[in-house]
Amino acid sequence: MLRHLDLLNVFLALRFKQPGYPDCLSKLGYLVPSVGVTFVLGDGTKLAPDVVAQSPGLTLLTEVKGGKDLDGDQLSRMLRVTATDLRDFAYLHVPDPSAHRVHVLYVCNDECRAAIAEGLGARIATVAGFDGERFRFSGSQLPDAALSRCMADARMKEAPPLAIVPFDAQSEEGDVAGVVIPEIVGALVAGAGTISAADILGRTHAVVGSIMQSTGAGSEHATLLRRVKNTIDRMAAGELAPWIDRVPRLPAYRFKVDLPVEPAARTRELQRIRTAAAKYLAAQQPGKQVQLPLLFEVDIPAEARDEPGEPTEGPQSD
Amino acid sequence: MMAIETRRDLARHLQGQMAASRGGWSASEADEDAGRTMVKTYLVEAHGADSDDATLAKMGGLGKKIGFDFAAAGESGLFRLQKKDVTFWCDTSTPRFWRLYTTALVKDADDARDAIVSSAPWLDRVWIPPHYLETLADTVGAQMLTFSLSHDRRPVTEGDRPVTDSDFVTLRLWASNAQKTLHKLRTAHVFPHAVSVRSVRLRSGGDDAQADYCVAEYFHDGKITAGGTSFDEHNRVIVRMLRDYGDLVRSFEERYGIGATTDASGRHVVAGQPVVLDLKWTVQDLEYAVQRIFAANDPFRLWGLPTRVSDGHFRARAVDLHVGGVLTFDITQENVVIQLPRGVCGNTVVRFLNNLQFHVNADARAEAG
Repeated sequence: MLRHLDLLNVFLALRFKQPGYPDCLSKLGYLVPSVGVTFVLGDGTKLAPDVVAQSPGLTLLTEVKGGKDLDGDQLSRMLRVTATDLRDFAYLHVPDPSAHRVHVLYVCNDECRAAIAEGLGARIATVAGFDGERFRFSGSQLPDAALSRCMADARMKEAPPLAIVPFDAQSEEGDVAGVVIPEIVGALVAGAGTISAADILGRTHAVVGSIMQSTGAGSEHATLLRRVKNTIDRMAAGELAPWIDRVPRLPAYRFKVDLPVEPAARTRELQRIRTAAAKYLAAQQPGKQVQLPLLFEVDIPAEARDEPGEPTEGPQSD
Repeated sequence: MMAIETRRDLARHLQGQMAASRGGWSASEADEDAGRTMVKTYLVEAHGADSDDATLAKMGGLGKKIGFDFAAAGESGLFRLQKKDVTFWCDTSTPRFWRLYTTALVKDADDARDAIVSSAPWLDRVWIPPHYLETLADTVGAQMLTFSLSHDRRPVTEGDRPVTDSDFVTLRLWASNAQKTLHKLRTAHVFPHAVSVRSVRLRSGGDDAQADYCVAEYFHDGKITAGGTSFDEHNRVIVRMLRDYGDLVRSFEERYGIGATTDASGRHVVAGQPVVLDLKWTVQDLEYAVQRIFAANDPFRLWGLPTRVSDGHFRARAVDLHVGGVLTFDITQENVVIQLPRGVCGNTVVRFLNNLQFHVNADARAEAG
């Protein structure tokens, strides 16, 4: 069974050109204007589809399900949404609401497809079950037959999706830290001086960051920001304490030391940080890290380092 | 030494040095001790130094750290770096890509260049792809005199026992038709997946004995040593290389840089796509190789904590230790897929691919060019 996050990335993969995945959404002209953003309808009803995918004549309100439970109230709310609502309350580009359709799509693990389809009853929505290789459909037909064909025909064997959304609100701490830590190290290498949770989230979710931003009714973005901040707080008080600490009264962290200029000392310091980070991650997600010594003491041959000494210019050079 | 205030002054000075060094272009001439140093040119990529003031501020700060004096010359875009007997002239007139010239001894010059580049995350070498070097003679209308190969899988393999005949290959060859010999070497599969061109030595300029010429060796890490009678000829080739290299780096950034942007209608859209490097792994233990690649060490210089996504699939969000950018690498037996965030330097991908070609498989390629 794939997790909610994996399925979310599987669906978003259809919008990208990535190896092993068909770019069904991309080639059929779909845009993804929002991911995890809540919007409020005229009657005050709140809706937060995981993904909104939009072609010129169709909007797919897409709910990603890691399990088999169907929230009937949520479905009812989504089914009430009209094209005009999308234009007026979700700020989507709908030039002609009368010619624009709105449809609900569930993306789930294939073993949950039947249960979710049964939960639909007579209500009109499509369920796309993914078994790690292909999509199978239940429920109503997708209004876009070309998209339906493209997804049904695609085979994605042994092609796990890339981490377009590297972690979400439900992700385990190890998954969040595994993404946040390299950003901290990157900032240290770049000589940033200070970092903030917002900066880091902006980088980790650069692809979807702008389409995850709330327009006032909330979004997953705020939750993610809290997760990043909590992770940095824990690291700053623990394994990464020798390198970062919190700036008093500001939502920022400072680097306590610069990296050494001398290359060998710099490498040693970076490897110390790597060891500390690996310790934290190993405690969070045992068995997931690649299990090999983290510090390599093996001397790399001079020629592999491109150091002077190898036959280079010949005797005439100097 | 003449006062050097302008790029034209510098060209005249270096022209004199090249002529005095009398770098020969036949094997016998090349073996003569010329007694004078050849001109060394180092191609360097610089981020965020878009004006003379910015360059002075950044390089001034860096110079203090590593003991170089840095000063502007008379002409905009020209600077001088000095430390004891080593003087570099830094021509920043080509945006983003600088040329560092020196006539210091090669060991001193290499050490100084390494110190400068490794001390600042906004500086990187220019990493000339091996296949570009291989075709450089044709590209610039020159004759290849020699080439050198360097392929070494030991940094990504466990233990000291060689597994194949191509685990490491170092070769330097003078031949009457070096280019043809190189082609034969590749097509005959003498060193399968290990023909990684580290440098080529070219003679460019006129063919007859009286014509002005330049004999220069072009290395994959952006170093060039030049002699001959024409600095203009030297300049012609390196400007062409920099333009081609700039196009390559920008194409990675513009075509592949993934991130949100705004389309013509003002809507947020996602642009870019992953970079796919087609690669047949030559190492037996992929997991070990993955761990070595992201071990914050030479030669890859990537900091990462790879995780196993599934059997034979590893993922690492890794820090490029040259510039501090963070990229995501998905590594499988068939390829390496890189997510290059918009704004992260495309040079990182070029360098990574170069390293794969020198340490894993010389035939690794970026998909579609």
